[in-house]
Amino acid sequence: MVEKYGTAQSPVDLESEALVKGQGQYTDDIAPAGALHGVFVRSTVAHGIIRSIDTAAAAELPGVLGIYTARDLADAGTNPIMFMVPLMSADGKTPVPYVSTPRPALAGDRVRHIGEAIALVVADSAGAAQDAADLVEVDIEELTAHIGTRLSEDPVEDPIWDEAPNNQAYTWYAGDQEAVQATIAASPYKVTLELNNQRLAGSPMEPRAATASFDPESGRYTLYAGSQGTMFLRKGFADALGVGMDKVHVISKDVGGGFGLKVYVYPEYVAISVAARLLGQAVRWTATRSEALQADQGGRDSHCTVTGGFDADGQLNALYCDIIGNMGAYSIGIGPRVPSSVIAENIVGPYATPLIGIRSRGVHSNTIPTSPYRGAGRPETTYMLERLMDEAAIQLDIDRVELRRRNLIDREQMPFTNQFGHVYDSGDFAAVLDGAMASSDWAGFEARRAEAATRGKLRGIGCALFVETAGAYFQEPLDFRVTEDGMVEVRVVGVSTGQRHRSTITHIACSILGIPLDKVRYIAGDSDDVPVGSPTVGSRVGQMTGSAMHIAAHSAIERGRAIVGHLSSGQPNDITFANGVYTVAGTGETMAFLDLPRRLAEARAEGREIEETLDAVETFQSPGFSFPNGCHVAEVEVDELTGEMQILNYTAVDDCGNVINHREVEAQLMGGIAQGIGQGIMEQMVYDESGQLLSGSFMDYAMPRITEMPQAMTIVDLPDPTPSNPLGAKGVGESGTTASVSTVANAVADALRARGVTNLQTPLTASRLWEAMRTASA
Amino acid sequence: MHNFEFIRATSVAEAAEILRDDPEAGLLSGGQTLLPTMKQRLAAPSKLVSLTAIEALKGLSQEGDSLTIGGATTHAEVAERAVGIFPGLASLAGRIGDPAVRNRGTIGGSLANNDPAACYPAAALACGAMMVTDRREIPADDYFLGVFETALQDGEILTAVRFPIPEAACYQKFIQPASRFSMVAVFVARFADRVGVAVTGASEDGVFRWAEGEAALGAAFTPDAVQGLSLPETGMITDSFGTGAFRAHLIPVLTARAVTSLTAG
Ligand SMILES: Cc1cc2nc3c(=O)[nH]c(=O)nc-3n(C[C@H](O)[C@H](O)[C@H](O)COP(=O)(O)OP(=O)(O)OC[C@H]3O[C@@H](n4cnc5c(N)ncnc54)[C@H](O)[C@@H]3O)c2cc1C
Repeated sequence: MVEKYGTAQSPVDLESEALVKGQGQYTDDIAPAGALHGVFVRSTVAHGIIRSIDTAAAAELPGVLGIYTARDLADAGTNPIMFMVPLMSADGKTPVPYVSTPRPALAGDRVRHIGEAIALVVADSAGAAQDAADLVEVDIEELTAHIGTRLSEDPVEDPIWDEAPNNQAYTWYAGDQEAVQATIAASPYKVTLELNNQRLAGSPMEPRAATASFDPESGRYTLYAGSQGTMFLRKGFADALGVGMDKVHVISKDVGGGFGLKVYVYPEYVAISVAARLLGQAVRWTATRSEALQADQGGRDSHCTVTGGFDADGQLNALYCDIIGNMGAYSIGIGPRVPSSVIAENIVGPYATPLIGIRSRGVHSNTIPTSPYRGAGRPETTYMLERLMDEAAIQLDIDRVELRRRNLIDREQMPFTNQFGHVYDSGDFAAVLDGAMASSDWAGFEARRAEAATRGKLRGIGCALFVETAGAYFQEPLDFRVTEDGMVEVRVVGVSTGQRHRSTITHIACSILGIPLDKVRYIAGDSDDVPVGSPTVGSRVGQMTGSAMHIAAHSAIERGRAIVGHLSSGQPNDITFANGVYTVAGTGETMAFLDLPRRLAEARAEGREIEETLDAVETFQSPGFSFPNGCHVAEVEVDELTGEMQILNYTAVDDCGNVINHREVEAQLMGGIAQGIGQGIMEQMVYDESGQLLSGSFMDYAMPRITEMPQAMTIVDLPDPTPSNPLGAKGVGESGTTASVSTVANAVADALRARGVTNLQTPLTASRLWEAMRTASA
Repeated sequence: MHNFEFIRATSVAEAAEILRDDPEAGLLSGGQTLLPTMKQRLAAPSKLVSLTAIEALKGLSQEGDSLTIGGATTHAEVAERAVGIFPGLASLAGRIGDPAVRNRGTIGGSLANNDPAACYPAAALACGAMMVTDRREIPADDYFLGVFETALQDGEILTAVRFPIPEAACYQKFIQPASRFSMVAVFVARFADRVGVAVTGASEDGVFRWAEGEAALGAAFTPDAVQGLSLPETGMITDSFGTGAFRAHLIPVLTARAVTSLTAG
């Protein structure tokens, strides 16, 4: 039975107030008094050979305690950071080879991107460390820099990795390439689009920060660093330090945004840990915003050529995606999986396309490594499908909504096993489409377009349907305990980076256990104190940890029933449970759930032998992904003269399964949509040909603000619960981004179509829109 | 940021003397440009002489057709106090940066810095303002020499700016979406005998007067007078936010918008 959460109750928010009042505990807030300050000397050259590093002048400055370079780290026994998750073939069975890119914590003989750390200066104040860092002289012989998301067939000058003469990181295929190509060739309509997903910067509000210390007695390192969950970070951290997992302790307290970039270990964490060990004192480091832009892993950055073979009646017979994914200088985290296997997991979308093929090739460049950024392949996939649908509609002269409708997978076909073996267990794609059409008054649009024209505005409307995968990593443990002071303690892995996990999980626990919200202690982020599981990624915490909470609470109620049986005269099946209280039928005797540990202790003190306890580690095992889906509609106006664009209305109709807390769903969607709009219209990491970063601060990297947000937003839940977990909940953390890039791009393309514009690439800046109109009319 | 000595001057003479004695010393006004530059370690003055405690450098005063604004007057103050006197300038000041920037940043700092995307230079140039320093008076036409370059000599302090008050003025700012400085902005000032049009943000040479636009509007102060005009794209800034052609295109468009807003109703 699925509990009815929240919808009728007031939304649960146990976290925001403290955070907005400045009472949060972010990494930089919790550095111990007396911790030393680390500052990194970073490469100002994109690609080159380090000839010498002169630290003599820097070392003489007062307050400087140590300066470390690659040699010191090697002497201390550290290892380069390695790509952790193997790239697997589409069927998940065989590893696909890729270029090995050991990433040093401090660059030794070679620098491969601007901002790569070369030396660490540690001093007793941040100012002294910074002053000294300025005096470190690094002599770098420049090599040809490789920038851009393109692949040369021939060997290039100064390849980034010797193993890859043309900088190619990997080649990855999915689907029957020949059959797909043949079917496309035989189709009466062949529609091709080139789509660029420009490089983005994750830009969490809280920049990365870390404090490291070392305890010589136990030989253990302790690292405080914001993360989305300490587990993956801890593994990479231990490997890089060359110690066992038991020798590292990683703690994340409050975290101000992650978006995918706070999952794995970073070079800085390794370097400051070694310094802490060598100096016998804690060392802290907090990134500046410029450092964040130079050294946080990047997002997106892929170039896709998508081709669809259509029948005259609009049936999509076959789809081919040819993708080049820019790995940056190193393959890190799950970087190579984003433009390859994640695409395959999502490319089927809502359509019953019989044949799909993918070729994905990775390219290395002299830029920051890329890895997941909110959506991680999902927005790119939707972008290919939904831009293609609109383009095909034009070429086939079929209404774009009708064209989509003709290709939809029917609700009746569920469970639907898609071409890449994923089973859609639920989802009514026609219903979300209909819902979005109705909520957005799509039918009445032409009148609005005509009215806008009288004001010199080109008005456009666009939609995007999507089905995405959520829940990555299908096992999730939760450690459930009740203490003698009557508190439920819940230990989980996934750290909240702003999603209010504590509120959601506590809400689930309290709804089932019938206890007040303040009776739950929520513990996350301390690798010594939580079970081994996966971080907050892939829209997974609500459904995975939430389901584990559900199971843990229900099983605790059952164990409690047995305990009450021992403590009372009743038999377990005479004992009912409601509102946090057990009642023994017949006698009417009652015992509160939260009182049981105390009563148990008392009974044991009296010599009674009762083995049962309320405590248990429960693991939720999911059969696979869940498939959040939806249809979003945007309406925009473009100024004919200047290309200025305003998003007027934005409608999101989403099936994220059962809704635990509507406000939380809305918050995730709005935030996700905002990020997608950022990609759609303004955000862009810009490197010049020599590899210099031109968007090195927020003066040049355009973060979206409230002024760019839609003037009106409508968010509608249309749940079709998934049977794959006890909550019936799908994910929602990425849906907004997955849909909004395409939705906005389609709306803008619709607005400009009257002007003959066909090719548009994000970010859709005013200048680009104006240039597109000018070129089209020329 | 490197270490520096901080001195709060109480008179222009005191500030000037410190600068004269120490060529490494610098002036600090609102700090909204200088402090970020120092934080990035791109500037490292030995001493910073703060101007904001010098009363003589603060405030607005109107004398007949001219408005004099002290060099250390904040953007916020201009936005608030110039409304009844020179609304076009008040509106410009009210759109610089964000409230924090406007409460600290000053007109003197902005004009001394002469950022190619800054707002005040367009107003000063379009109006033909007089730059008043501790040594002399410099007409705007002779003051702006290029990107981050002005006629100010080493140690010269911009004490005030004297604007002739136009009959009507409008600042049209097309923002650069990241910094919210101007990507292209046009200040149109209409006087009894002439029209001034100055453009900021667009040119590789910094703020400039658009003579053709001035002439056209001088003949007929209507949007149509400039709508058909065009500027060459050579010499215009091209970056990830806009091409040179786009910037050139925006100049007549924004000028026409300014005229429309001044003539409508
Ligand atoms: C986020 C942000 C957004 C901004 N947006 C805009 C915008 O939209 N439009 C815009 O125009 N500006 C913008 N600015 C810049 C802002 O207006 C600054 O305040 C201004 O450019 C400099 O003024 P200041 O008083 O802060 O000068 P300071 O930073 O103190 O000084 C700047 C330079 O001028 C020199 N100087 C200062 N006063 C004098 C003087 N009286 N005589 C001689 N030299 C002097 C200093 O020595 C220094 O070299 C923005 C700034 C920020 C941080």
